[in-house]
This record gives sequence, structure tokens and C-alpha cells, in this order.
Amino acid sequence: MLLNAANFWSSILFWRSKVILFLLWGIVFCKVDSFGLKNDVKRSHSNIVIELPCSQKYLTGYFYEKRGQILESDFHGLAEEVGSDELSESLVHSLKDVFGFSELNRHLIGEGSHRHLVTNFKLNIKPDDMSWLNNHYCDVVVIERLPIGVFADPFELQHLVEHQVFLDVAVFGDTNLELPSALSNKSVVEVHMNTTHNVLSRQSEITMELPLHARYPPLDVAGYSKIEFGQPDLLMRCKPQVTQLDFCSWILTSWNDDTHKNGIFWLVPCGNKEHTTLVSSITFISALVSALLIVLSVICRSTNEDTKNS
Amino acid sequence: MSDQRNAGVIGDRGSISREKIWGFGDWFPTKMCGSINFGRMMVISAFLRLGLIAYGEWQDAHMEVRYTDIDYFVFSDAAALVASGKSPFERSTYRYSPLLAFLLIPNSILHQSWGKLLFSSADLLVGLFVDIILKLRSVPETLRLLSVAVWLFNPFTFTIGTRGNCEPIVCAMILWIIICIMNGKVIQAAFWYGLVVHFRIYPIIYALPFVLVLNNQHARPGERILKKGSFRSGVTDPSSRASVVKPSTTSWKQLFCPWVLLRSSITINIFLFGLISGSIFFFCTALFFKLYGWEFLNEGLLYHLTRTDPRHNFSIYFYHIYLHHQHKFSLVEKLISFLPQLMVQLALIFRFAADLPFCLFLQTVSFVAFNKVITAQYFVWFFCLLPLILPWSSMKLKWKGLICISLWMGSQLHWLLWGYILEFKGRNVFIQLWLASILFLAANTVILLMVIHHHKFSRVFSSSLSAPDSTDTKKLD
Repeated sequence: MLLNAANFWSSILFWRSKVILFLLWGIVFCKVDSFGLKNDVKRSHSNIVIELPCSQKYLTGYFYEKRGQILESDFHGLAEEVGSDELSESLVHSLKDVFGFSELNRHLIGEGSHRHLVTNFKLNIKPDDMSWLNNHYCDVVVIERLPIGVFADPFELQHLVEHQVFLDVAVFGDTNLELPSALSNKSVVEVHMNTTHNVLSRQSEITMELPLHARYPPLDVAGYSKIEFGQPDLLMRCKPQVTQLDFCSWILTSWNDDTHKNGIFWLVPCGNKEHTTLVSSITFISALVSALLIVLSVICRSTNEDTKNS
Repeated sequence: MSDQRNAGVIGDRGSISREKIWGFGDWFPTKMCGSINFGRMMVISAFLRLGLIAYGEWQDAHMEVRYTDIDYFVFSDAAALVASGKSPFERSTYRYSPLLAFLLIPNSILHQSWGKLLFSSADLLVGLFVDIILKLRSVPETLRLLSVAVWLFNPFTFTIGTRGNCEPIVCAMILWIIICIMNGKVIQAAFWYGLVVHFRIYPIIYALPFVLVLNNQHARPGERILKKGSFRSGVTDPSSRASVVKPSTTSWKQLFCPWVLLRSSITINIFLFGLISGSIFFFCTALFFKLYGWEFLNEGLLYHLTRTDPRHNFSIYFYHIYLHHQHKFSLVEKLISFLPQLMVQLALIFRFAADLPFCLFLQTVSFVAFNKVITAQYFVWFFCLLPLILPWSSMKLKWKGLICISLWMGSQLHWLLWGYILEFKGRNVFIQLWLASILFLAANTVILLMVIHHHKFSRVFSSSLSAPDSTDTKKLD
């Protein structure tokens, strides 16, 4: 069943991508920057290949350096814009449809301010090009653009790398772990995972559990602040097994199905603005009363003792 | 101890029966003292700590939830950065003196548990210093052992050192400064004081009581007259209770008459203390500013002075700060929130400075209680001073002592319950949590009042030489 489904999707992918690749070449040769094709159309159709020196460990880091800012929008647009110059023609041909991802399923587990975002998907490998695959080490890369209001702790993630849960991980953007949402910015997490893909079955199920933490949200009368997650970008990073050229290919793959578009959200309790006056006044009154009690007892106590002395 | 040799014994005005103290009989049967001595207690404590460090290693390697404090990893990372010639402040959330990172360099060279061993040694040193201070104040051995045990076997303190929290080092330094002052070693006290204020800013609140004590000492370095004989085991002096409590009324006078304060405070001791501690503090600050620039000043120093945390913590101010986090506080608001803290500190200092350990204890408890941010590790700051005041408390464990302990623990657990519901269940209980913080402040206040009420005021140094005191007391009477 699974095999049939994979074949079916990859054949669709194959024909659709032919069209898109043609369009891509259009961008490369005509140097048209503002190409009017919508992102989501591209997402559901094609793979984009970027070739970078292997010393460039993180794709997000590459864009971050290039752009000097965090990635606000879809990765595909950026990948085309930045990566197209470095596209090698032969590579694109060989890689056009080796990989595909499907059946993305996401949910949050746990309660409270510290939860795990579980991302579950299937990696499909196209049967035609086994020779290329056998000559490369490939890892799955998940790029998660976190909304304002949640953050990933880089040190905690590093701990997971040490325990071999992830191969590599990096956080870009606002990595401050303490600021409330109102005073912080977005961040992007790039997770690299080992694919223990079974080439024969041509499909493997991958699960990623990303520990996340909620920031203190801005005040709201509703009592809870809603944080919505978008879709992650899924890539393969492939390194040639034997070669003098130290170039790694990043294959930005698209969704084969659009069935999991509905986002997930996290409700975080927030302070109520209407409490402000009451809370502030009672806070100060209680502090003052406590302070006065202590001061008075200090004065009275010693006076009593002094009276005793006489 | 060489200090006891030249200590001037000034009568037994402060004697108190042992039975009166902390329900002594209930706690620690006198017969037990034969089998438990100070050395054995230290050895048992050392093994306990070593065992916990080893257990921590095991838990860290095998379990999801780590034993080691999260800050310990921050220190270790900062130490590794320092070892490779970089700034420790490259590690985000490292907000301590670079000295700490230097101390932990062996973490990355020798073993990662080096820091824990260091902190736990400081923890044991605190036990030793408690014993030394109480010996200097002539507390009988059994009472000393009991007091030391209150530190060494307090589950809160031995876990904090073994989990890799650096506070035991600060505690040891504070206690060593007290010992230096008691022994009249002003220069050494000043050196350590400058260093400890650089290391952790909060001991700045002790500056005034130190100065007042040095001022009342009326002796040149090395010639102090340490008041002894507060204890005479088994015999109760009926006159003792009336005669001991003569708080420093001079201090009140000084408070309201700046000229008197100024004239009387410029003694050679105070001059030396101020000059040396100030120099050490500024030397350290300048040195690390030169090495690490503004990052050090902002993260290591200014952060602690201006810290306002909108996230939930034991402080009554947390919800107020959260409700105002989207706009800045006005100067008036800042001053109003500082006022209770200032009032209490000044009252405590000018009344109790002469009984130095008691004054420091009260100051620390109230400083933490009125602080804008309170985390559990701050409690260690006064736990290390608690053994120094227990021998002078007439509060019995049955029942007032137990009431105090359960009130403090109970209000804390109550807060933790709401904190858990907010943080781990994600339910909006900000109001309940904030009310729990107010309850915790109320509990702290009640306990503070009870401790003050049951304390037998006892000067560290005899003030019989200082004429103004007696005249002032007469006037007051």
C-alpha cells in the first residue's frame, strides 16, 4: 500500500516539477527577481536545489548572514532568490525529484509553559536514482519558524544533540530566553536529523519532538493569548561520499499533499490589564504595612526592654 | 584559638540557661553529644555531599530530569570560554563575576564536577566558620554543634551546593568577614568585603552595620575587646534578661544628627575598611571592564541592580511588574517600591548593628522578602546566618519554633502549588499566585517579628568603654 502510494505521488511530483523547473530556469537565465508565482503553488509542486560549501552547516545561518535578518516568509522564495545563482545545472537534473515528503502531522504535547511540538512526516525516496543516493550521505533538515511568544532554548537543544536525539541544531533570531513576548522577536530553529532511511522500502517515517517554551504574552482581557504555528520547511542536506569538491546540496522539498494545512495553536495564560490598578495598589499597601509593622516592632521592643532596665 | 587568648572578658551579663534555648532538650539530648563531635559531623557531611555529587552524575547521565542546576552548565560553559581566551559573557544568561568562571576553569580540564566539589567545600567551610564564630562568642559546645548541624544537615543547603550553585562561596566569605571583624582584622575583613560585593552585589546591604560595629569597637586593629560570657551552661542569671538588651541608642542619635555620625564615624578602622574594600571593589570592576568591556558591566553588575522580572517568582512585585512591562516605570513608582525596603533596612541596622550576626540575619531576611525578584536560591543567604543567632533565641521548638518553620514552609508550598498550576498546567491563576506571594511576605513578616521578639540582644563587642551609650540609655529611661 505504502509503496503504491509513494509511487503515485512521486509520479505526480515528477511531471509537475518538470513544469516548475522550466520556470526556475526562467528565473536563472532572465534574472527576473520579482517572479509572480505564488509561494504555495511552488510549495506543492517542486524541489529546489541549492549548492553550498559544506562548511556552511546551517542553511538558515547562510540566509541570516546574507540577509542580516530573520526569515519572515516562506523559505522557497528566498531559496530561489539567493540560491539560484549557485545552482548547478547537472545537479538540478539529477536531484529534481529524488526526495519527497508527505503526510505531515503536527501536534503539541504536554501542558503549561513547557511543551513539545511533535512533527511527524514521511520521507519518500524516488526509485529511479538510487545510484546518486548511494553516493551521498543525506540528512533530513527541519526548519521551524517559531511565532512570537514561543522560543526554543539553544542549550537544551544542544543537550539533545549530546544525547544523539538530533544530529545538529541551531537557533537564529531572538534567542533571549527571558524576555516577554512584547519585548522580543521571532526565532528560527534548524534541526538536522539522521535518516535511517530504508532505501528498499523507499519510505521512512520521521518524528521530531522539539521542546518549546512560552514567553510571557502581552496583556489581554481574554485571559489567554493564542499562539499559532505555521508549517515547517523540510529539506535534505546531502554530502558526497567520495569527492574532492566539498559541496553540499540542499534539496528543499515541497509537500506532496495539502491535507494538513490547518495550523496548531497554543493557549498561554496572560495578565489582565483590568487588574492593574487593584494589583499595584494592594502590592504597595501590603509592602508598606509589612515594613511599618517591622519598623514599629523594632522600636517598641527595644523601648520595652529599656523600660524594664530602669 | 589565638583570639580567645587576648579577648577581654567582660562579665556574664548575658548568661542564659541552656534549657531556654530553642527547646534544646527537645532537639538534641545532651547524652548524644558524647558520641557526636564536630570532626565527626564534618566527616559525615563531607561524605553526604560526595555521595550526592556522585548521585547527581548518575542522574544526569541516566534520567530525563537533571540533578545539576541549570546555572551550573552556564558557569561551566563560561569557564570553558574563559579557558579558550574568550569572554565568559559570550554565554548568554551568564550574569556573574568573571572570577567565578576563572574558578571553574578546571571543570573543562580536570572534571566537570570540580565546581560542585568547590561549592560543597565552601559549604563545609561555612559549617567550620559557624563553629569558630560561636566559639569566639563562648557558646557551649553542645549548642555549637546543634547550630552547625542546622547548617550542615539542612536539606536545602546541602542540595544547593551539590547541584552546583555558587552561593555557598558567598556565604563562606560573609562568615569569614564576620570572623575577621570579631578578631579585629579590619584590613582582611575589608579585602574580603570588597571582593564579595564584587562577586555578588547583595552584601552591599551589610556595609552600614559593619561600619557601625567597627565604629563602636573603639579599638585599633588587633586590640578589639570581644564580648564573651554570654553563656554559662546550666545557670540562669535572673538579672541577665533585663541587663542584656541595651540596643545602640547612639545609633538613633547618629541617624538624626548627621554631624554626630560624621564626626564619630571617621575612625581609623572605618577609614581603612572603606578605603580597602572600595579599592578592591573598584579594582575588580575596572579590571574586568578592561578585559570584557560593557558586557561585563551590563550583565555582571548593572543587571543585578536594575533587575525586574515580569515572570512569576516569590516576590509580591512580580504581577505588578508584569502588568506594567509594556511601558516603563516612572521614577515615583520606582521610589515607592524601594521605600519599604529602605525603611526596614535602616530601622534594623540602627537598632541591632551592635549584635552583628543578628542584624545581618534580619537584614538579609527582610531584604529578600521585600526584593523585586525572589528565587529559592536567595534563601541560602540567610540560612548561613541562622546558626549564628539560634543560641540567643529563647524560642522553643515546641511549639513556636515549629509554628515558624511550618508557616514559612507552608506559605512557600502554597505559592509553589499555584506556580505549578500556572507554569505546568497552563491555567490563568495570576491573581491567586500573586495573593500567594503576599501571603508569603506576611509569613516572612510574622516570623521576623517572632524572631526579634525572642532574641536576646547581645553585643559582639563590649561597649562598656563607650561612655555615651550609658548616658543615652539613662536619658531614654
